[in-house]
Amino acid sequence: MELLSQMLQLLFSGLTLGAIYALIAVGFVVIYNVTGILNFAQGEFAMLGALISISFVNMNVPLWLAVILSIIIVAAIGGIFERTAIHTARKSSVTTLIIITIGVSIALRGLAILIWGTQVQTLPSFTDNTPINILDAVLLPQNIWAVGISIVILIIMMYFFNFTFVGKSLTACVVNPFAARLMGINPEKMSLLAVIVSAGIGALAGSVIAPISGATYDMGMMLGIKAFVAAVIGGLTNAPAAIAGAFLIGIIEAFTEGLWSSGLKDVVTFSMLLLILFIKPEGLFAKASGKRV
Amino acid sequence: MKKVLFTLFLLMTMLFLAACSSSEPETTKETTTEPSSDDSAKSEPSGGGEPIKMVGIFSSSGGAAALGEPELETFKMLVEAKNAEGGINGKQIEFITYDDKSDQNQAILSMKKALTQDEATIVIGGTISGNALAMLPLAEQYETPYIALAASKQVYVDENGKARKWVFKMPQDDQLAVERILQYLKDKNLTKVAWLNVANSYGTGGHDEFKKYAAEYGVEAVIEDEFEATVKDAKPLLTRVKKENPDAIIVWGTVQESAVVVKNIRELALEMPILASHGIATKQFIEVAGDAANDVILPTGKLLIADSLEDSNPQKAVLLDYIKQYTEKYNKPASTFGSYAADGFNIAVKAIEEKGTDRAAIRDYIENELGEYVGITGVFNITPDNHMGLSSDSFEMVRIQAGEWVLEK
Repeated sequence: MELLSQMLQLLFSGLTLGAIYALIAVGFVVIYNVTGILNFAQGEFAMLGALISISFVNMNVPLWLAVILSIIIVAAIGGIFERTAIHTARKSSVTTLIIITIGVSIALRGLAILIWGTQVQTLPSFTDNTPINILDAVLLPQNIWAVGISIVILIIMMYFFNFTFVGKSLTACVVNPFAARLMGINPEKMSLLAVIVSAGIGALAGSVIAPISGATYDMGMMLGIKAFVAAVIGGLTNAPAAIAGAFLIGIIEAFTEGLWSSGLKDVVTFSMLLLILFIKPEGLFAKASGKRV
Repeated sequence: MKKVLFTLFLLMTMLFLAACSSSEPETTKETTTEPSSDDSAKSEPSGGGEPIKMVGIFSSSGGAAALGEPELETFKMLVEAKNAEGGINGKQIEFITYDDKSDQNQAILSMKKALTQDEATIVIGGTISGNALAMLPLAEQYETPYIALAASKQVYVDENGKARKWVFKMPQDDQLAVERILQYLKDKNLTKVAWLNVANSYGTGGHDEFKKYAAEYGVEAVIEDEFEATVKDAKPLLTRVKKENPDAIIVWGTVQESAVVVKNIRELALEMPILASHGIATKQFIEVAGDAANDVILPTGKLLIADSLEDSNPQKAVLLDYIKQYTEKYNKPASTFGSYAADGFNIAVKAIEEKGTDRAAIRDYIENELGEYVGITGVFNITPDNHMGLSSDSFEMVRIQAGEWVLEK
């Protein structure tokens, strides 16, 4: 019984961590799918989302409105970032573009220090946060929010990419940009759209995490790296697979920490990344196909 | 055209980063040099002897501004008050302050200026350990007494374990906080404990001290582990702690990560007492941890609980005096960091009163003749081997109750 409750507790923690990574990993995948670049500023969108939400709440804006406003603002920042940094350099090699995103992430972090300073800030929970007891393991409503939101995003993304015209157009851009152009799809517009969407999702992720762990200017980096690992493990081109990868990472981390040692959890995560890259570089959940990886 | 735009963007980014890194040497020109303006006429040495030149170097902007600002304010306040009373032995104090912007390069440049151009009689400052460590070789080289305000033990002890000749340190070592916690555990007969520390130098430093002294106090760790500074959910780690069922949990970290771990302990409904490091002794911890902060027990300097000290405590009067002076002048609560500057200034004044402006005589006085000195941080007992001179008594155990610090008996 005690063992069961411990396992259940670890599973709950793993799912929460997984949900957080998933929301950021989705952003990675959306941008990668459309532009072919890895956006290392993705974690910074989460940081901005969290801190902007907190600022609004401190101005006595209701929490739900604060989160929505923050998503809109960060999406706009994402748009500006795409137009100024990515669009102007779109003729450069992918490597250059990736390095630009790293530069932007450092710039955003610097900006956040100037605006919010280095102090930790916190956001109230979305709803009353009384722990729920299940078989002696505790589950917090905020954790349910985190998991719930990422599942909803997962469903929306699947629907969006497979059943809507815009989603299909986005996919078309990466499969064959030239053919997509012939079909009347404008890859440049699609690139802008992709960055805006993933910045918005990132902001949502940040707002979900802030009540759990607090928010600081430097929270984005580690989140971004873990989410990147999740996305690679899932397969970079597939949003649902990236989300599955994120949950996998979260659960493995929780169990490593709970049964072994917390110092080793990053070791396990990154070893997994290396292993996947060696053995199955197209991602755990990718079907064998002729598509580029 | 696009190439141009791109280059422009890169240039902007670079400029932006450069502005952030705050290490460009030209900013030294902006460094605030403030010889007390209204006293400048009076402060000219009126015959005989060298002028008294006190230089304060604090991190009053940048990452450590929250620490450095109260230090700067305290220093200014005390110099002005002293000069208004007629100075030291009838001589006005010339004072100069520099802002090192929480940056080591700036700290070295300021120290160099203080020693070569200003020819300081004594230097007070070095808000953070990195800066103090960067500054002290210059103090040794120019043979000028230097009172450091940073916590690291290395500041006053060199790599061979000997006291640094010209450096004295005002704040307590982290080790004393660990000893104070162990003393508390011993008194309360909580001998089987869980030790959790944040995985950075602050955390592992505390852990080393804990391992060194635990047995001496009859305390045994049933589980020892680390959590990351960016920890989001420590419940997996805590399930293991729960299994070991310790008498108490020690959470050794700074505000953010400690808040997360303490919240998680409450969520898992673990009932044992939680002890935390002195690194969380700010209102911010109470804000971030919310209700979970209640009943957390930690060692802190006496400033937070000065009112509840027994009247017989020799420090009480000194503490209340400083708090009153600071809050009246700046209209905000006094901070522990400011009190380090106050102790440093007061000790310097005492030495100069006795020995004049001869640097070597000042140093010798602080080292050998100061004796037991009742300061704000604690009762100093500086000796040739110990240039800090505080003991673990300088920490009091407090319990957080309804957002307030309550002295733990």
